[in-house]
Amino acid sequence: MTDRPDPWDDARLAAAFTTRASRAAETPADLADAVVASVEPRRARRAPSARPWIAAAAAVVALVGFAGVRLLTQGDRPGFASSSPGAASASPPVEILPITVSDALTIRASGSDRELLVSGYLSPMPVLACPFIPAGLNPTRIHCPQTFQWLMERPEALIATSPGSATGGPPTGPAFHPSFALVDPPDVPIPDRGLAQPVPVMLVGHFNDRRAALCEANPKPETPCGDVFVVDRVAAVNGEPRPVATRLDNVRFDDATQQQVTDQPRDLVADVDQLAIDAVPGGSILSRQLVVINRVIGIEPILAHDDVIPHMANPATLMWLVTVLDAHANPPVARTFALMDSSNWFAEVTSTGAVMHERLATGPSPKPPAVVPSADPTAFDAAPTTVLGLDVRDVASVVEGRRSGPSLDSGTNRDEIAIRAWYVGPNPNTPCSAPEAAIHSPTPPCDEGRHWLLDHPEAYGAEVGQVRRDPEQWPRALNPVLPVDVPFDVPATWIGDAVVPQPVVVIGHFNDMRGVNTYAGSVFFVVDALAWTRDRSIQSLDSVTRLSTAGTEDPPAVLARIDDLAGTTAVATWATLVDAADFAALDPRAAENMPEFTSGPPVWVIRRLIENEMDGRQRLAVEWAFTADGGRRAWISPYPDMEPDLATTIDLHDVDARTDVVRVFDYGGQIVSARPVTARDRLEWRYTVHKYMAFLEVARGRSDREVAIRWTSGSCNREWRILVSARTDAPGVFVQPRTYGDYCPEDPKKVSIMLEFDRAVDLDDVRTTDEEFSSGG
Amino acid sequence: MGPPEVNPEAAAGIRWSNAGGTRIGPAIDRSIVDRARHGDLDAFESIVRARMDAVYRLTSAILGDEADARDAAQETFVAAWRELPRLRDAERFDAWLQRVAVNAARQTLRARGRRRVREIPLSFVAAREDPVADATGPRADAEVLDGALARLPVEQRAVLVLHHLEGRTVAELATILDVPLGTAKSRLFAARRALADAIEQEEGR
Repeated sequence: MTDRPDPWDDARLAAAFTTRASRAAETPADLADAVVASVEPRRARRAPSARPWIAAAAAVVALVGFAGVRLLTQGDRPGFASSSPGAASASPPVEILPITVSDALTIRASGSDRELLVSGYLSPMPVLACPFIPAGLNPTRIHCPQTFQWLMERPEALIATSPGSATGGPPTGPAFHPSFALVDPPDVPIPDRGLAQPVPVMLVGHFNDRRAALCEANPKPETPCGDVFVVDRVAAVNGEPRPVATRLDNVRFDDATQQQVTDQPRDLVADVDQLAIDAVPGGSILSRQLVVINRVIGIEPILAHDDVIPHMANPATLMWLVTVLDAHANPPVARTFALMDSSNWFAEVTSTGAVMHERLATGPSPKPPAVVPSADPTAFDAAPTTVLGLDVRDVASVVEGRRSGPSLDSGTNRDEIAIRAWYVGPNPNTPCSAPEAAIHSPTPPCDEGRHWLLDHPEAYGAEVGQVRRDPEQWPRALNPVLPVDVPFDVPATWIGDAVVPQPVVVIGHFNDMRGVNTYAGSVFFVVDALAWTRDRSIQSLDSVTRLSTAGTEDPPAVLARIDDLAGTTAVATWATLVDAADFAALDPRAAENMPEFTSGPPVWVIRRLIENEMDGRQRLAVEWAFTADGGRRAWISPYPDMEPDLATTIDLHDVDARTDVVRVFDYGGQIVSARPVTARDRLEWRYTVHKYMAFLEVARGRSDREVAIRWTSGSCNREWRILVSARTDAPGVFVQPRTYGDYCPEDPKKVSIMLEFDRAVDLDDVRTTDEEFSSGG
Repeated sequence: MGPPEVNPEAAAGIRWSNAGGTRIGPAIDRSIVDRARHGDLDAFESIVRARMDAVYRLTSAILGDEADARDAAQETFVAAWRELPRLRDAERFDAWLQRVAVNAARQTLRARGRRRVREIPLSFVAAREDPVADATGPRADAEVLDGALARLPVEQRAVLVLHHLEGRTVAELATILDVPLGTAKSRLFAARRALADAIEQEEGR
């Protein structure tokens, strides 16, 4: 191994490692329970903390998932939890089990067309020279190259590529063919060289589609049409939820001008959705399509028998097709509705034809939807290229970097990031964008009320409210979270029905602890500050936001207190004052971890942008600090994605000749005072429990509220930490002395201090956690 | 007749297999991992129970401190729960989990790193005061190793622990650390050299 004599060869080293490991304590018996307990409340809180668009997604997933679960629980599959439809619809998506490909195949064999949520791995679509197939075939009919794409139970890599060639074969495990005729398919990349890995997806759809009965017999389908899984919605890709999407097929060749034209609808998505939901009370929109009239018959062949044909005389006519989950049907099924744009022709498409509905809404919107202007290439000329030393990046590079990077080891997910983008705020005219509560949690916004950061403003509104011209399936866009306490003075992005994207530079981060409790919340980009926008001067990134009028302290005094505790210098500081009663709304996770701030005086939430050392690197990242207005305690998060820890201590200096300082961490807020032990105390020491592995001695002080503690140390260090917290299993306290540094066995010493609690403490109820961990001996 | 015996691991969907590689315990059916990825807490709990010993052993060996090892093990699973939806290949779950554990150990020590020195829990102090401790042999070596490891950064400790205690090959190290094979080799080489220097210092004290 080395070029010098090495008496520590591998065998000796391995023996030393083994001996060292054998000396280590056994796994604490309560650790697994502690882990499960620590994650369970987060899951349980996901549903109520989710914002409407997440909740909508949850409803879809939950209801569809329920359909599958119910069927499976009638069979022989223990382990799946059953629930009522009502409970399922109120549950977060992560609590609902999607069914497997195998289970879906069982349902297919039963002939059911019930709507399913299937979790599996989607193989890529190979690039092949296929025989010509005329466009506009029945959605249940798949052909080359679709016949090479599978939804699989296991992540089988089916395609191997090398320059100029590709080889592959069918999966060996359970699999079926999905049809993406009604929705835009997820992107499954194929590398230039090597194995193409499938992508984990969750798809909503069904087998035995009604259109299969009209599947063309010639040419003969390669796969029976009823066996094809017709995808109604892509629910998640790579663990990231996907919103309800609108597939656009509104580009046609205009014979008169001999050019391609994009027809814009007059009805808005909101109009169409409203009609569909009115027709299916309690339903959930799964997907939408906007289709040129001449291509509608291909998607809905049954309409060839209805009065759609006459409308084809005007090739510019558009038709909306909306798929709705009818959760109240037994079993739940997908229903399709058609709306001739800008007309009262509205019908449900069934297996027997169009069933006309009265258009109950007020009719098409009076004005055509706004058209997003092209990006002004000079808009960012005056924008900074760096912010606080951070290179300003575009949205595409940020999205790509986040998706392609390793989950944890890259560490980039905690970095502060500066982004240059076009910003569009929520449309004030959409129903979902009603003014938010003055104080709301910084969780992802509702679907229609999303904020947008875009490299190209034409990509705006991929799914919501507006129709995008860009046919790209998944535009490089971010829907950032704008917390209520982030000043964001950007010119209006809506003038009437017209959208006016504004160029901005913002800084922010992913993996925000406040988002973790929401479904896939950590994938959202959370804005910390607006760094630049056109025609508006940003004087300073620092800010103070007062959400409470009850505070008495000046921000500089609070910041000084936190700076002193943190021991670091912030390059930017954001302070927010919030009433204790509103603290949980602003940061539910912090409120859970620090209940002391949920009542009493207002709370200062300080975000400090600091040079933080993480994963071996120094980089800018946000650190949170919390302190009550006029209070003395503060909690600080050591890393942006870690929970805060108590930062304030009761310090005892020069406790004895060989102990410089003892810092008492009063987690429970129970300690009135701490002092050195004196000869006047006349203490009678005893171990906390009478067994070999007891380290901590205790003694009664001058009252039943005083407890003296003493421990033996072989440490060379002259500093100690005493962690004190309330016991949850019994009255009393946990006391854990800790220190650092090298070991000085020749110099053992005993250290003792006196703690005065705000209540009587029985000596029998004092425990030390080391004793708990080591009780096995 | 009493109740039938139930193998709790089998009941939890955990089975033993002979698959090698980076596995750190009884094989976990990939459907369990998949269910956990989709938020099934029951499935995740069975994973926690199946892997807790291995993870705690790893964090304990890296950190050499009971309380820190506990914190890091707990953080490992909390992070795993948070990040599981982003795990692309359930077959590589164990390698991924070990990487998360190394990362959690690193975080834990960096949190302590503000104080720049090693923490000694009381139980360790007691163990050092054991009068039967021998001045030679594996026990003495273990003490020297303890001190030497404490002088190394977590990354190097992790490499050494995985290789010498857990018996991981260089190729498996590369998988666990998610680095190319050559990088794993060079990291192991550097860690061994650093450990040799640290042992010299410990022995010369």
